[in-house]
Amino acid sequence: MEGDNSMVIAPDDFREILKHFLSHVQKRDPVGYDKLMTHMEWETDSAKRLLLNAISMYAELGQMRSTYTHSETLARLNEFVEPEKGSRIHGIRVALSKEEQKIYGKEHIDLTPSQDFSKFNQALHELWQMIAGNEGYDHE
Amino acid sequence: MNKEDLKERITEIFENLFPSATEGETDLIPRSLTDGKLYEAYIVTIIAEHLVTKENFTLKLVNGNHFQLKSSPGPINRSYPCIEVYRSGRMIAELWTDIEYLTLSYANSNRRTPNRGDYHELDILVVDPGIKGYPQHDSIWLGVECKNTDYTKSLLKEILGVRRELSLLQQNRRTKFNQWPRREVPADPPSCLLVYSSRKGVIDYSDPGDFFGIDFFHEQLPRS
Repeated sequence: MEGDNSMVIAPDDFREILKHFLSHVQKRDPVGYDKLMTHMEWETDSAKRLLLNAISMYAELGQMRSTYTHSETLARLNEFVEPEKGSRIHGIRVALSKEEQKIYGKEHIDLTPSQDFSKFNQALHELWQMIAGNEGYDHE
Repeated sequence: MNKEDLKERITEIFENLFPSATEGETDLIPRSLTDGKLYEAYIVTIIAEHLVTKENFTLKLVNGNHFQLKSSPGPINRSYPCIEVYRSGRMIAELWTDIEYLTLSYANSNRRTPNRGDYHELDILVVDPGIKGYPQHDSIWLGVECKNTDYTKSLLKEILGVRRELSLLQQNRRTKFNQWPRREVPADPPSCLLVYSSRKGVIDYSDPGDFFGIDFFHEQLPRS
């Protein structure tokens, strides 16, 4: 389907497709859905532009949950920052507030992704390209 | 390819490729606590790369062998890991994340106890070494905001407010840096202020930064 130039979709239909996309995000990933709804730039007249924005922003969110992105970030840390002791920086973690520590019973969260979004992200990028076609849309 | 084909493709992607939830305690922790944090960590590596390659600084992680971010901002906690910044073997600054600084307006007030409006958060801070608690506005070398979302007008207004509470607009002053991010900035105290966004649109908002000394960058996460 990649590079398919025969796509004939009316401008109003993009609104319906956007709604369909968002309903899947909401069902599978309520946090991601909230993030999209809160932080996406909605000020555009083009439903196609909105759909492309939603897909690329959600792919970006997925990118942060990819094992590849995590390992690249850790590798870059080890390239430019020396560890105090030992041979390398072992990981990246998020320290929780005192209240969060009581709720979750731990002091920090390791950022190692528990699920790999790589294939999902790749599919979203391909979807974006298929919809954008050759009409000169910027990816981000 | 028509509307229905596209909807079907979207359904396929979510049904077949969206990772299914794993069991275990990590699932109890909401993603809202960690989403966005990897982008912040990645931008730390970008800052680190520039400081090492352009300023010839040496960076060292201390107080642990894990790099640590925080789920919510607050004062400098010296029991947490931080990155020490060395120039010619001498420790000259420290890099911390998710820190609230005390504002310029608070420094110019006669109040002894800060209220909520007297702190502002920056995602990444390079500050004078040895600070405990909330750093003062004039101890800041470099502040960085990281946004892995669309960059909007409200975010621009927010960063302009942060600039206002860091420094007064002045003729160019020498920063603590020789080259990167700036040798001079139109601000006193001469702190550098940077915005990184994963979205290309951030550059559309950069013009006011030319005047006030805020640098905007588009930086995406690495992709496989």
